Amino acid sequence: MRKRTLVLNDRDNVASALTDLQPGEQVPVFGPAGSVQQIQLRQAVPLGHKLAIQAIGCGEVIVKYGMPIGLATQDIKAGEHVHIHNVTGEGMDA
Amino acid sequence: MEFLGYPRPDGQIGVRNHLAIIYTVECAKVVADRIARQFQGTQLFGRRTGCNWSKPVFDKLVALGSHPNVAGVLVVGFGCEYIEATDISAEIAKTGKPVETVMIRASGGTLKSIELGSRLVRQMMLQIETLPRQKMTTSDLVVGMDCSGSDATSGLAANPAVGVASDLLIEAGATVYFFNVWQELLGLGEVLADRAINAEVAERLRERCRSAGNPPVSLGNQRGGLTTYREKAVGALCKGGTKPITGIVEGFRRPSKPGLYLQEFVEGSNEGESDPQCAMAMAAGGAHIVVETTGVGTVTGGIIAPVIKVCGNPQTCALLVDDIDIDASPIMEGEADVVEIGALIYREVLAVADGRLTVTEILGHFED
Repeated sequence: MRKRTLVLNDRDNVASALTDLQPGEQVPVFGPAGSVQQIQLRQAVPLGHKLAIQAIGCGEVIVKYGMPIGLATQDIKAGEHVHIHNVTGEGMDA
Repeated sequence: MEFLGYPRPDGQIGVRNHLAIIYTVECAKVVADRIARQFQGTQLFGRRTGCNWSKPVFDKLVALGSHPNVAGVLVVGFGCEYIEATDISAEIAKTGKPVETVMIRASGGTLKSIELGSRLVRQMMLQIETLPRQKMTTSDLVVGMDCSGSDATSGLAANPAVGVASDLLIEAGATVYFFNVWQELLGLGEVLADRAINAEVAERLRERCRSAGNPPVSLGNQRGGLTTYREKAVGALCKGGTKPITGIVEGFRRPSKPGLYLQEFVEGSNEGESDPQCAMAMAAGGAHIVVETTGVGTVTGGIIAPVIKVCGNPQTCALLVDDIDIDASPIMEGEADVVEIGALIYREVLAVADGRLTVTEILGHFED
């Protein structure tokens, strides 16, 4: 079965789109130990971009590869596009 | 897992049996190249620019000549350059392997040097063909992980898959180097320090990554989905896998303990920051084999250590089908997962160690 999202680590709160995802689509997101959750896309997420797979609060860490990659600059809902408009690379430890 | 390697007089063991021809200066390159062309399968490399003294370049050339994948060496110099061919030969000869030297000026110029050098190489090649083989295992192996021509797929497919292979190699007792140019380390100090095996290594990693700030992500990268510099840096780092970091490769010395090591260019030793220069640096540090991930694709290989190409971009894999060893693009197509491609890469490393030629070896891509 062709997957449409990729989660790189069990601790991640984002998944990467393996194809252009459209708002309103429901996509399976594969999590730890073979678990699957269905996520409803609230926005378009292009190939290679990220979608939130759980709610992320303003100021919270975006986790990818099991590591912090940025901080949310606003509240983000599951299924929303996560990118430069709602994430900053500043303010993380050096 | 066991395979047959080539034991060297100094106790090292290699996965190839190369005759290396080293030119110490640009003025010696054509003669060295003409000697190489008389034979099937020599490895030609040297110092392409400048003739002043450089300890890092000297050390690099000695390290490459002393490499366990090298069975014998011819060093070709002109005679007035500051890196003296006889000094290089003397250092490499300490390993006990056959080493010969040709000085172009003293030998009487181009044609006489080509003849003299060719006869010396012929003699050495006959000699190295009779060397016995010896069993080697994964705990004897050093494998280098490098990125080249990265794109958005690198951090999603090729690098994570290579990271899985890194973990498998470490679990099997091998030594793995992950290669980063300094810009890729900016801001990663704490991330790396957290994985260090002890406080001393942690501090050295922090020191290495100390930076003035967070560079922006390029527009091209942003369009591809990269949001922050940290995301890009971690995407490059993940080719090293998840194991604790044992240390940093010092100069061109292979570490005494197996494990995962950070490697970078030894300052002043490389001639530019190209992909072949990265592969050469990994070989000079002792890597038997180099795994190179790519997104936009490359055709280059490298000298001494066979290069395994791993590509995660489906379009690149279709276009450069002749130049890729491992197609990791099924990850991007949603048809394979990172773990299974990682296992495939691990098995490929073992096969290459056991003698399978990589695509760049077959095509003769021995860029220096």
